[in-house]
Amino acid sequence: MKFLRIAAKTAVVLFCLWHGAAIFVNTMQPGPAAYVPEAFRAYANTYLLATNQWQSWNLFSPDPMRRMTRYRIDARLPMEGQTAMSGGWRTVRVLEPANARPWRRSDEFSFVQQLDNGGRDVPALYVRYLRALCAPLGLPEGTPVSLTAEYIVLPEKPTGGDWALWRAMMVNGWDMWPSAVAPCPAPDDPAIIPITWL
Amino acid sequence: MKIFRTIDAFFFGRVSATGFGLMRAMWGASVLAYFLKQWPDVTRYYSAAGELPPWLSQTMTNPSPGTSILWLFPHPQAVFAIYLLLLVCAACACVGLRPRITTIVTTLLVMSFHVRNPWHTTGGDVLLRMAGVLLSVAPAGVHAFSWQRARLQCRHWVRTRKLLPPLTMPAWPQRMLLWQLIVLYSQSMWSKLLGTMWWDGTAVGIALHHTHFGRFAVSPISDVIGIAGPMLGWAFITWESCWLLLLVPRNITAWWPADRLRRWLLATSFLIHMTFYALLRLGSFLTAIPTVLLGNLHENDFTVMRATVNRRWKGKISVFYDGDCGFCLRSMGGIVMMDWLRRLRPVDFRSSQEHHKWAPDLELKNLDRAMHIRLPAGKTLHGFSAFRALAWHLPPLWLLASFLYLPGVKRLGDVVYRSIAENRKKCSHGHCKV
Repeated sequence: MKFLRIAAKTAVVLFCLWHGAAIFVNTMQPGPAAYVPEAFRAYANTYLLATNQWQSWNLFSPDPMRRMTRYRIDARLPMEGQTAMSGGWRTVRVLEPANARPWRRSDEFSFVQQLDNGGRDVPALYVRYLRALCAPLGLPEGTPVSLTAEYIVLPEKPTGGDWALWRAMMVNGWDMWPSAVAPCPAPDDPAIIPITWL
Repeated sequence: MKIFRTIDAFFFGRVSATGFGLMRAMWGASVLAYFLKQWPDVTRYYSAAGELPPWLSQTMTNPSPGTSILWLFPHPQAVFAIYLLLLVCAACACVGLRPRITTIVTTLLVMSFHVRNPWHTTGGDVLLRMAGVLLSVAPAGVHAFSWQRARLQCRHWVRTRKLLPPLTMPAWPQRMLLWQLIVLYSQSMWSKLLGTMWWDGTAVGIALHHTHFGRFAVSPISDVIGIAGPMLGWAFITWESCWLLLLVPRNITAWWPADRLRRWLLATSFLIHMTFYALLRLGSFLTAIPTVLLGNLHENDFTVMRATVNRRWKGKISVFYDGDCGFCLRSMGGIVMMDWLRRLRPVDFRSSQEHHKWAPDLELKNLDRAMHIRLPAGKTLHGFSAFRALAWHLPPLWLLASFLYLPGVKRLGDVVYRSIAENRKKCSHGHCKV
């Protein structure tokens, strides 16, 4: 029994040391991390991925994000009495933190920002998201809809005067990054689960 | 041999499990709240018919790492069923019903949902996952502050008029939790020093004026706070670096007791993150941090907090109860369990010795009609008024206490209390049904 107790305690101590070292190595900056043996880093990353303990503490570091983005949903709506393709593009909604409900804000903006950053590798994801916007916005089947990212980059070294300049930029200073265009599906299309928070 | 004893004491010395129990309760509540707000969109976020179907997410440049049960059950109905299971387990983990198994299941399901669609997760969710793992493996820690423990306490109180000694656990889960916080803050500090904006003092101003984060981004409030931005930025980096002092051996830091440093860091971490909550939108990070801080509390931290709250409080409140009534004993047990500030003195008025010692002027027939309390200043209250006065001294009832003084509540309370008090007469000892 004493042997088992010592063996159990030894296993716990080794686990604590291993886990502590793994999370430390996983969060190290690339420069110092190069001094850690490659094999150890590989085992540590594999262990943390398998146990879902991977982590990265980089909010506001090394520098806070300066780019502010809002997302404009445009649809090509028909003129009265005409077909959808004959109308001009009109903005039907602007997605920005100020007009999102507080308890949904982080969920939806995290996703659309990730889509903006990583989803452009997979255009089908963007198209899928666009098609889910149609039902809550009441857009008929076949209406072309697009999502455009508009952004401003805050000045790096603002002074008191620059914040006034920045507020002026907020009105007119948005740059645009157009996304894909997709046609709206039928309202009861079972392949698309519509967004509920719009 | 001394090194082995030191290692044994460091990892397996007994510490209070109360902190971990509180952490479990808050962790369960955080997980429940986080996932409840996703109710309308669960199938859209996590099923194959939603925004991130498996066949598309696997083609991404960086597919989500880790393992998830939702890869095996991608249909919307199955996802929703698993989601309901998560909610139930999180609620049970919060109140401490079968705490071990519900904590383990909740942790595994949280990981599954986060891995299935990591695009809705933030840094706070990483902390919640990490806390879940530690709670799952911590011996005894997860049972503190649980419904099961409360039942054991109540039974013990009824039998012996004393509470069970506080639960303890080996130190290693708390050491790992503290190490996680040290890694979090030190790596964050290190990363900040590699940038430029924290050096030139503009980082705080930028964060406050960023419309994604700042609650007052377009308001002059951010301009005013931003003036102190350089000083606030450097103060924050210095504070983050203080966490590394916890790694310095105690015999070197004899001039600054390690316990006091840890307590100061935990308290300031809580205050700083509450300030962040007031100024910034940071999602679940702001509930995850207080959750993790709770797990780092030791028994002497609770003693210090109690002494601070009781700084101007003198004496004890005598609470007179009927020791011959099972219902009364269980009720008194519940009140004693909530007496975190140690301000109460339970007195069994059926014991003539205790009755004559603490309230010789109160007649038995009056004590028998309703619960009486005697405050240190000598004032005596009974019935609902006594309960209402006691609520201010029982921290779990603090939120309820103010509502008990609303107009009309006293009258209703008197009626309810009288009804309960009269029905307790119909009980036999230990077998009361009200």
